[in-house]
Parts: sequence; C-alpha cells; structure tokens
Amino acid sequence: MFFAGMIGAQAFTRILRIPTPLLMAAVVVLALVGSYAVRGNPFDLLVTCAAGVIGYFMRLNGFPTAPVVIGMVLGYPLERSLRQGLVLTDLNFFAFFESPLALLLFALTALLLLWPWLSARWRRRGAAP
Amino acid sequence: MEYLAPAFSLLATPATLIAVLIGTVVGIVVGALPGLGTVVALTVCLPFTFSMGQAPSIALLLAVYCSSVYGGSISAILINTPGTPQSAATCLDGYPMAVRGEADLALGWATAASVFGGLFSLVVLVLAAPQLAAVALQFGPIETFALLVFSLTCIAWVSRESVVKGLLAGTIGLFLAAVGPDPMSGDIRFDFGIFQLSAGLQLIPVLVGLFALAEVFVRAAEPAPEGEAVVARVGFRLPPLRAWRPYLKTLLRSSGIGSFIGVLPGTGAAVAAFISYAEAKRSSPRGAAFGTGEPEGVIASEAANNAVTGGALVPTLALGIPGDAATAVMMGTLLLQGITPGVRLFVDNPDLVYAAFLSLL
Repeated sequence: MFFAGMIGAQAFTRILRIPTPLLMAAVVVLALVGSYAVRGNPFDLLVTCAAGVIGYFMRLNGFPTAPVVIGMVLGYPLERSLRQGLVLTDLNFFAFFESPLALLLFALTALLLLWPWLSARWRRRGAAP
Repeated sequence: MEYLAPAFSLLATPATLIAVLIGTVVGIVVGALPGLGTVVALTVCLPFTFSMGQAPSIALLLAVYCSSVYGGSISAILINTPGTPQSAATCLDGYPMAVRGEADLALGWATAASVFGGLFSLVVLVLAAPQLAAVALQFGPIETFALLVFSLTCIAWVSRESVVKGLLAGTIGLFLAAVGPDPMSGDIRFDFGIFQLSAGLQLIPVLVGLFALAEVFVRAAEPAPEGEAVVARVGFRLPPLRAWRPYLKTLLRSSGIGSFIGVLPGTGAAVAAFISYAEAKRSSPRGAAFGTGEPEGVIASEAANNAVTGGALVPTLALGIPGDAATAVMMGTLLLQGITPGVRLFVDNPDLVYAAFLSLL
C-alpha cells in the first residue's frame, strides 16, 4: 500500500476525471456479473435488482442499509443458537438468564436500547436541579 | 506464533502477491472515487475471487478493504470531497493544505499515517483475535444467542439516522435470513410458492443490490453536477523524518482509538476518524490551527480510519460476527471459499488466519 501510494499518487488523481455516467455504468455491470457468478443462477439477478430498488427507497427515506446485511448474516446463527438453547433448557426461555455471561450481554443490550430514554431523563434532571 | 512460517509460505506465492498488488490498486482507485466506498470496492472484486484459491482471494479482499480507506483520502485532500465517508474528517485539514499548495505533502502525511494506523491495528488483531477466540470456545448456544442479540442491537444503535429505523432495517435482514429451510427441522418457509426461494436467499446478490445498485440509483436520480472538478496534478512528497517527532503521540493515540472503535460491533471508520480528530484537536498544543491545514489533523483522522480495518476484523474472524457492512462482505466471501469464520477457524486453519494477517502488510 505504501509503495502503491508513493508511485501511483499522480496516476490516481487522474481517475477523478472519469465522467460519472461511465463510472456508474461500469459499477452496474460489475455488480450484476458478481451476483450472477456466485452460483450461476439467473434468479440471483432478479434478487439483486429487487434489492437495489429496495435499497434505493430505504436510502430515500433515511433508513440505513447496513443493518439489513448484518441481520441477514446473523439471522441464521441467531435462530440456530436460540433453538439449540431452547432444546437444552426444555423450552424454558427464562433459563437463558441463568448463565452469568449471557445475563451480562442481555443487560448491555437493554442498556443500549434504553439509552436515549435514560440520557434524556438525566439531562432533564440536570437542567432543573 | 509457530504458525507464522507456514503462513508466510502460503503468502509468498506469485498468485497471492499479484492478488495483493491488484487489490491495493483497485481499492485505492475505487476508494478515491467520490461516492463509491469500501463496500462497493469489495463487491466489485467479488467475482474475481471465485476462480482463485483461498489464500489469494482473502489477500485480494483484505488489500481492497485496507487500501480503499486510504484511497478516500486522496479525493478528500485534492477536491475536498471525501471518496469514502471515512475520509470526511481528512477534508478538514487536508484540503486547506492543498489550497496552500502543499497537496503533495498532505498526501505524504496521509500515506504515512495510514500505513502506521494499519500496522498498529494489525498488531492488535494478531494479539487480540486468538484470545477472543479462546474465550469464545467456551460459549454455548445460550451465550452465543445473547452475543448475537447484542451485536444486532449495536449495529442498529450506531446507524446515523434514528435508532428505530436501524432496528427496523435489522429486522428486515433477519426476515430475509428466515427465507428457506428451517435450520432445525428443514421445513421450507416464506417461499411464496416460488421454487427458487425454497433454498433461501443468497447473501451476495442481496448485498450487491443494496449497496452497489442502490448507490447507482441514488446518483442517477440526482442532477449531474455542472462542470468538472478541478484536479491539480500533484506529486508526492514524504515529510522529512525530523518532522515526525511532534506528531508521534497523535499517531499512537489515533491508532489506538481506531483499533478500539473498530473492535466494537457496528461502529465504523467514519466515527473513529471524527472522534480521533476531536481528541487530537483537544489535546494538541497546535489545536487552534486545526481546520486551517494543520498536518496533525490529517494524521489524526487517517491513522484512526485505517486502524479500524484491523480492529473490525477481530470479531469477524474470531466470532464470526461482522462489525460492519464491509466485513460482512468479507465474511460472505470466506463462506464461499469454504472457510467458516468463527471460533473454529483458529483451531482448524491457523495458518490461513495468520496468512490473512500478514497480507494486511
């Protein structure tokens, strides 16, 4: 990286002059090739296009798209661990809170979710002593 | 450390070295283009990895990942438009330097700080990831579930807009993951009678659509900018060794901030760069000059946003939990190559892990 930066800095500045339409067209082609090549299934192209449209409307309305991907990646292990855990505890979800490590993580999650509400409360108390 | 030697031999093949070189160039180029960030750079490179072996494809993607962050700073300095969100803080001091006619020096500082931040986080990664993996070996399904819930909440929480929208987006992702066979019983769910859906949705097509295509649509919907950006032809000048001394503290602190923030799930390089910039401004004796073209500002943000790369790989490789969208792409590729990131990776393929670490160099 270091050497590339040293030698290429001049060349890289030229890339900034490529017209945007050409660039965007290239991105579309590469994106479609990429999603098709994963398993050579044309259906994946439809999925890609649908995801693109959904992503566009999400961005338009101020929804972040990164959590969708993370949710999708974590969805399967999340479900599997939940189901395995339930098998271990004979379908008793409350037994999940008996593991100290899990309890700590659940507590952190709760704190994270309640944080906006808590900080607003503290601020109000600080403003009116 | 006994795995370092085999890892090195995995890496020293011509194919891998070429992959690193190409990855670096592609990463810098795509990163430098305004609007096309790290995730687009990674998705564009994806198809090329299918025909490669494990080590070269990991090396390629890691090189793209790290260098795209650096590439963003080139456009930040030269045309005051960050190529990637991570480089937004670099604009603040980098562009004033360029206006003063010191663009070459600003690029030199940015490069040096980037390399330093990257190396620093690499050390953190090599030291921290195996420890974390060792702890995670004791995790049962219950602890894993709690950890996953926590990471999902984190990513929703740090999303820039609102927490509720982040949580909703995460839920959409969870729903998409539920399409296909049930992991325990094998029942087909949510296929809506469409045969192709019965195997579940593939991550890569969804990801490419959401990031690359959506980006193109957003750009297409905007009116094209009038005229061309004026780009000066500049060289590259490394700062003299003497000039480094006063900035050493900032370099170290910013790299530390970047690595730490990178490890936290869901946070990103953009956040790290701004926190590090603010911290450097507060504590530096030259703080008042920040924003007017002070090299220290460039150093603070560049060291931090590059240090994030190593940090973000810690949970990805050790726990199989990607910290952001870019590491999620990396994880998707690893899975395609038949490598399952997570606790077992360190037990089963230690030489591959260390090869990955080394290729970050």
